[in-house]
Amino acid sequence: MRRTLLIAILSLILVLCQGCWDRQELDTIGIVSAFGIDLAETPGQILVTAQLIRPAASAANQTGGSLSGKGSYWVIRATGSTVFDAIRNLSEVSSRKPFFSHNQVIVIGEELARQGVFPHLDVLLRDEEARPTAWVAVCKGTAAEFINSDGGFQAVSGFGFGQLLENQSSPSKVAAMKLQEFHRSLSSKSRDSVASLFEAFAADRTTKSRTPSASPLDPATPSSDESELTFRLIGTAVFKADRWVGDLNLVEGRGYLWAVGEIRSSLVVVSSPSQDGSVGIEVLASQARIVPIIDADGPRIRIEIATRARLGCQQGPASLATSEGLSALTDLYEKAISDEVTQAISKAKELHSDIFGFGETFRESYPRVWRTLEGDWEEIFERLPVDVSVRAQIKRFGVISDPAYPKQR
Amino acid sequence: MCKAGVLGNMSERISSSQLVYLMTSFILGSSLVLSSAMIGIDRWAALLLGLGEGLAVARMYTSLAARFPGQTFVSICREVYGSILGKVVALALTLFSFQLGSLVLRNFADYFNITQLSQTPQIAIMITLMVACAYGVKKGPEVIARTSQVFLPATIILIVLSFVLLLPEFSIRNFKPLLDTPIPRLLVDAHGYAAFPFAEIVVFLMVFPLVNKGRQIHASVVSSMLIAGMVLLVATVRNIGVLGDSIERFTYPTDQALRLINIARILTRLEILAAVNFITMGFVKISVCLYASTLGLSELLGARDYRCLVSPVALVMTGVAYSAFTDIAQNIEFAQLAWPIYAPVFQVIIPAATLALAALRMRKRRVLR
Repeated sequence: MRRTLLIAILSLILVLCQGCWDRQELDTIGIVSAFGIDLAETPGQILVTAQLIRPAASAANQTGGSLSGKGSYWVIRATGSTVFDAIRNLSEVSSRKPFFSHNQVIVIGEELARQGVFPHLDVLLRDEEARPTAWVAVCKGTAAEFINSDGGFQAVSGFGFGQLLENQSSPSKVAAMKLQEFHRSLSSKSRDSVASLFEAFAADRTTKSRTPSASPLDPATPSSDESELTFRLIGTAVFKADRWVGDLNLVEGRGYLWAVGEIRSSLVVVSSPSQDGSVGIEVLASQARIVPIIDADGPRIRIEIATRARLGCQQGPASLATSEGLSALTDLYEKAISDEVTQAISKAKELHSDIFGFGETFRESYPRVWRTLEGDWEEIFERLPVDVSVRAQIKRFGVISDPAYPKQR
Repeated sequence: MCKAGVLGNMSERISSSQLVYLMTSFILGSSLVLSSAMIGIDRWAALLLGLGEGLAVARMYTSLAARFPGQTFVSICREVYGSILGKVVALALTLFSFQLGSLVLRNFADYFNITQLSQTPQIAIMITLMVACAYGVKKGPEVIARTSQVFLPATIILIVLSFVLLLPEFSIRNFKPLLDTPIPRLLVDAHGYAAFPFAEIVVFLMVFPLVNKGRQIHASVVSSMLIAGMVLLVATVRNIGVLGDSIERFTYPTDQALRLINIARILTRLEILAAVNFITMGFVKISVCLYASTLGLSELLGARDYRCLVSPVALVMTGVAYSAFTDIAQNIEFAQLAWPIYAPVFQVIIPAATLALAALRMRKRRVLR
């Protein structure tokens, strides 16, 4: 009897308690692939733009061999008094609940980035659904336009931009930051943050010049011809505290990456030692160390960069594949690196933004001294002497030794 | 159902190596995910100091066990304090085990509500785990010990694996400036680590009589504390090396660190590993607490078998866990501010008083002779 009762109760529980509260059914969620935050036209309001994947359309596009983004995603916008409020208001447009776990890129619009991002990042860190591994980028103009732009190879442009930022380690001219690292350096008192910077341009296949839509901030679903606009990386946005204060161009951006040791691969172009055109040097590996020094003259910084490279291309007829040629090239290469780093430093000083984390190296190595420097670090940083020492090796010259010219006798 | 003696029959004894598994799992219980530390990047040092304090305190527990072989804390108290006062003191430790169990259950449910299951009612999470624990305790302590023999190696493998997977995000710079925390704050946190989790093994005073070779208890306790301390150190070093000073910001640093795992965009979203660790080790910890409090209560009431009391105690424990705090902030404040002061009453004062009184009585008896 007891046994029967037990089995009855257990079966009842099985029937009544199946599933769980937090299930996420695929046909009730809209997977967000890119997410933009802007200031709305109404003061004090935030405009968010989400790119939602349309799974059926994506599949159809892929089987049809078409890479056009049309229909593979859907861009929706909503305003609210906070980012989270605006996200919830997205449900006024979307029949499915936006789901953030697969978000690739968080794009911050120009105006909002200029005003400060701290108030708006909170929910992206606090909510367990959002991932700290999403990329963070800033774009000139509005993030709303960015989210709606063409995806190129990827049917869903959010994934395209995620991949693009991931691949920045190859040209290494633009810093790319994930949310965790971005927020950490943003909230650190001893360093400032950077983010990738995008700008709109009309894609080549679009012949007509693009006229901005009447109001890109209009929360209505944008018309389809807007997606002919596409975006490219133009540099690195520099933050001071949480405000976007200026940019590093591509050269300065690489200077920054040299100094922080994040160059993976890149091509440095110098003019040939034999004065016949340009020579490209392909970076194979690079490491850097920022050494804080405190001596009688006060604090200073030494940046030590060690790099290996190979001859990537040359324009002139004179062969560089000799030990003299390579060593002359090495000197030029070292000089080019140290120039780029110096340019990046002077730009950072101009913007009063310690993006290299010089202050952090002092805090790490000289915590007591740092407490005395901390108060007027901004002024110290502007006057801070920085030596750049580069140790470069050019190891190889590729499949051919002499250049592609008729043999000189 | 109630037929064996209060300790269960002899087949339910555990070996001293099983004690190591059981106790290591108990210490790792909730501390792998949760930390009472208030300081940032120097918490690894606090952990080591806390382990030292824990080892010193644990010496008292093993001395008690050695002095009264085969006796639970309840019968030790009866002998040392007499029948009435003895019951009061024993009740205090029993209630402490009970409270500890409910706290761990609450932390478990809070963790799942915050990081994984935000919509699920807390009570549903609690009941799910508590049913498993009550079932395990009913099957006897030996079953829990055997379970921990499976769970503990799995946990250690997962911790080492997560460390390896996080090596790309790991930076030695995150440890600098090394030991820049003011000494008083470091010591406060060290004591915090001693109170949670190391000295919580005081509830094992109810488990020690089950160990078949009483003489090896001290060695088992020391080795399990060292093993658990090292595993915790690995986890703490991993969290600091990955998160740096932002570690202070996160409710559950372990969860946040594991969120950052990204191996070729394929191995991602592995924070569930932290949840797995919490489920398995939390199960062992809650079960031991449930066993200790049930056994204590049944001895105090003179029941013949503790098993009759498992379900009611588990039910009340769940209720207490559910209603102990109104929100997570209260829970964290209690763990950080109140626990390091409150818990030593049971972890230090009661065992120390018992040990001192026992020694005094022993000497008196000798003098009389």
